[in-house]
Amino acid sequence: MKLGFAPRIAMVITLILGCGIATTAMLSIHKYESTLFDFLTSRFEFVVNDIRQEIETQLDLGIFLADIQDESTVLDEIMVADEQILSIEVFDPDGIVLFSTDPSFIGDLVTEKWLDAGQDNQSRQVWSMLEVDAGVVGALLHNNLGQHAGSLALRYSRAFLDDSVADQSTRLLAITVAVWLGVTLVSVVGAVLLLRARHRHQEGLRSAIDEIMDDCRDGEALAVAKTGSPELAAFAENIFVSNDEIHAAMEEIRKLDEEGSK
Amino acid sequence: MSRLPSPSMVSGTTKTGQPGPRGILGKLVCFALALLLVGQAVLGWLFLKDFEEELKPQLNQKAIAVGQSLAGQVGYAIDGIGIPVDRLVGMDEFFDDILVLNQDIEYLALVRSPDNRLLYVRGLPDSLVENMRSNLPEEGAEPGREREFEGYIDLAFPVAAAGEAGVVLHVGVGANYVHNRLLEILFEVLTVIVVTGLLILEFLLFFFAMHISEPARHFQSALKEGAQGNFSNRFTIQVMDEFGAVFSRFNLLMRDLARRYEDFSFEAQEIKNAQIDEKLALKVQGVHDRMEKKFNAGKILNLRARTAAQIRVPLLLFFFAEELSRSFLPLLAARHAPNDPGIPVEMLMGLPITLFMVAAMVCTPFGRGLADRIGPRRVFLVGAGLTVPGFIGVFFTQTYYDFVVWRMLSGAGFGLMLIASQTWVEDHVQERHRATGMSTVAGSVFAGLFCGPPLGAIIAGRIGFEATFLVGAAVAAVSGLIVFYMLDDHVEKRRPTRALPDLQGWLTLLTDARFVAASFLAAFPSRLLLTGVLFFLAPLYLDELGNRPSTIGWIIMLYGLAGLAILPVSARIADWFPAPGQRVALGAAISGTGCVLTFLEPVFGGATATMTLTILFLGIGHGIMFSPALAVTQVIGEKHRDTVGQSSVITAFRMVEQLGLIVGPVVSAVLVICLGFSKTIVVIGGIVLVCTVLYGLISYNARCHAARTRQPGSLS
Repeated sequence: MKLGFAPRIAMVITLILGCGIATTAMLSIHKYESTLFDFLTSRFEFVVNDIRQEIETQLDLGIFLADIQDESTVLDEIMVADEQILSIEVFDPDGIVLFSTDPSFIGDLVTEKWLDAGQDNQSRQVWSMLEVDAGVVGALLHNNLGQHAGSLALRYSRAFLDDSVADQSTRLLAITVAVWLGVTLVSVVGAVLLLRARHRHQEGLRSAIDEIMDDCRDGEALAVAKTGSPELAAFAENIFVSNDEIHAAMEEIRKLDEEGSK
Repeated sequence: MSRLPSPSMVSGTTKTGQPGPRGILGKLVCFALALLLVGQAVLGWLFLKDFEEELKPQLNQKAIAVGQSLAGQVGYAIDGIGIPVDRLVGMDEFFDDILVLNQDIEYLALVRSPDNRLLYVRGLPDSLVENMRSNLPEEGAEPGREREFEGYIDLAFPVAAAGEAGVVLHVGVGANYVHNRLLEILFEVLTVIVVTGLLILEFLLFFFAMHISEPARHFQSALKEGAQGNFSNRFTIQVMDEFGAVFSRFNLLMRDLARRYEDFSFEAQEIKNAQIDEKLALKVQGVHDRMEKKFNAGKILNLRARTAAQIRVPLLLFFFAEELSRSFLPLLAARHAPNDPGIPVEMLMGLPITLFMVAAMVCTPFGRGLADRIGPRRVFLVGAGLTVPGFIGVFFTQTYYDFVVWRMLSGAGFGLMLIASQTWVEDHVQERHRATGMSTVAGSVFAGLFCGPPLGAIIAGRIGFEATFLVGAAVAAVSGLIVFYMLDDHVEKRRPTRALPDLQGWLTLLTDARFVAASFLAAFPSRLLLTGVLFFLAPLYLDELGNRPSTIGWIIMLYGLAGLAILPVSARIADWFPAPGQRVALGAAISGTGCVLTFLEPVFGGATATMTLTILFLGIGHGIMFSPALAVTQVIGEKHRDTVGQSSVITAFRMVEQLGLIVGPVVSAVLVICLGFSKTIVVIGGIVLVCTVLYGLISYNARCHAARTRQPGSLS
């Protein structure tokens, strides 16, 4: 395939810039995802802290966690106020659900991961994690003696996060492709402009060799070559001389042949 | 009329002042870098704008959650408990607690509407309090109503309390909070820009060497030879670009000339055979012989562009692939390390680096022999063929032992690839320019160390440590593909050499003070420093200091940056320190001093800052000593040319050097167990400094002795 300097250079530049642009796009979408996750988590952390304080106030009055009145109603009200909340569970230190926005969960055991997350984040007031179908924000509950009385966990819809990231990814892809195409166009034009002189020089060189081959001793390109390049001038001169010598030698042996025939 | 260039136009400008390839190269590099910056800036701006629009409502949602909750609590205090709003106790502390726990909330204010009295305000600068009072919205705003206020977004929440009408809670978030959060990515995008810029520079240099400078040089020499009557040159057409077209015409011209001569030769033979008169036949033969002398000079030579620079880009990509894991390799080893109380975990973290180097060392002499037989291109491809599966294997690794085996496979490939590159450079530079040619290898090593660690750390932060090795595999495969397409199987005919000295040879070398000094007191400690401190201790220590992986990558990158920066100025350093041995000592002293600086951590602003300085010193020191170390070896090799053999001396030197690479992580791990990180670095730096002093003394003594031997009696 015949490709000149300019398209080749443009290909190299475009390819490397494309890799750089793709990396930036990848980093950006990751940044978007992590920032959105942080915002969601931060919002639900506040809600969880609110519930925690409300429960701990009652624990401080000496009420056992399992004996708190109307807690399920409070949880239901909080859930209704935010459509992204899937469920809120309050469970004892063994992981048995005591209150839940979904009554069918009461008495069930929560996943080990929630208990581990609580244990691993004892120094922080809240913990968070992403599950396959939901994001979870939790907090440990302590009584006024500092004893671990239980935990609570709020599950929110992951669909919002995933859909938002998917939407942004699609938009990002479109922007990336558009920028890359723009860069490609500019790099082709730029390479053609910057290498135009070099291209013309090479074309001139090719024409000069063509003229040498055609024995066109007064050719335009060759004349320029002789002034611009002493090496090419000497080379062309030697080719012409050599052609003449072969021609003369041919004539000479033909004459000798004629002499022999006589 | 078109202007024709001088084929000798290979420098910055031509005789006519037209820009030559270097001039065009400079412009192209500037153009590509400008395009890179503009492209990334446009991309960044569009992303930022788009993301901000999406994320701002989420921040407002948070403020709404806070506002509604607090308004509810205040309302309960007023209505439920019956405290008048202006007599609420501890509101400042209450608001402060909320602001501390929620960094995205800038201020909280409770206002009573009738007289716009600010009852409680926290987080708002005093200068803006009065401003806020005069800018309050009219009474009866709906909950969560939003307005811009002095760089904040203010959300108002009426407190529903029957006892107090017109009490409104204001929650303020920073108008630029989302913007600033997103700008945190700037550091990472800068890394991408820097790495992409360096790759563009390297690829353009490679392109120009392959497509313009080298073809121009070849064409010029073919013209010169043609002008002197040598018509045996033909060009191998590698690509059909502008030079390909010129070469193709040149080949046609040469073939045309050859055909004319062959026609003549055939006719002359026919005429000669047809003559009855012997004198005439002899005359024809005489004409034929005269022409044959001129036109049938001998074998046709196929010209093909081959330069040392051709290996630079593949080598850079290979190092880049390997260095992607530099900032987290010991941490990954620790993750896979078995809980075996018999072996300290520090040893297990260093072992993969050590065994990688062992595999590379074992393959080096083998690869050298192989490169002599089948050519460096094939050896490079074999190296890539081992490294790529090695990288992929790490991704699938299940146990520590799998991990070590895959790393050893990569190490074997690495050793082969490195020796293939060195052989290629040796084959394509004149012996007297070998040290300069080897700076091609050094440049690629430092460029790889510059690009790999920061980008690897960023990628690992997104896709995980193991998956980063898949990226490495892809880059290494690209490197192999470039070698496959751009290099040929040319095998340089050279005198067969022994890879390693025999026993007698080793004895000869080990009794030569200069060899012992150069290898055991300079090369060995410097390599020990590289794997022991840079590869092993730096990632672990910086991690222990609480640095993020991307920060670790950036700090390690400074080694490559310093090395790259020092290579071009090595000629100036050579003016100040003309003897290569002096430059080796200088480099070793700088790298050793860098480590000892760790002793003064408080002076340099903490452990991370000092470690950064140490790595910078390492890069500068190693950059200074890279080329002179080879020159010193060549001088020693020259001395033992007839007894041990020059290439055997170099191989022996390399082996000692590689021993340093192997021992580095082991020594560091043992010292870390006993002394901890900072003291270990100081001790290793101290060892290097002691070795450097001994090296300097021995070299000086040996040079004096050599001078006395050359000029007997001159010192008397």
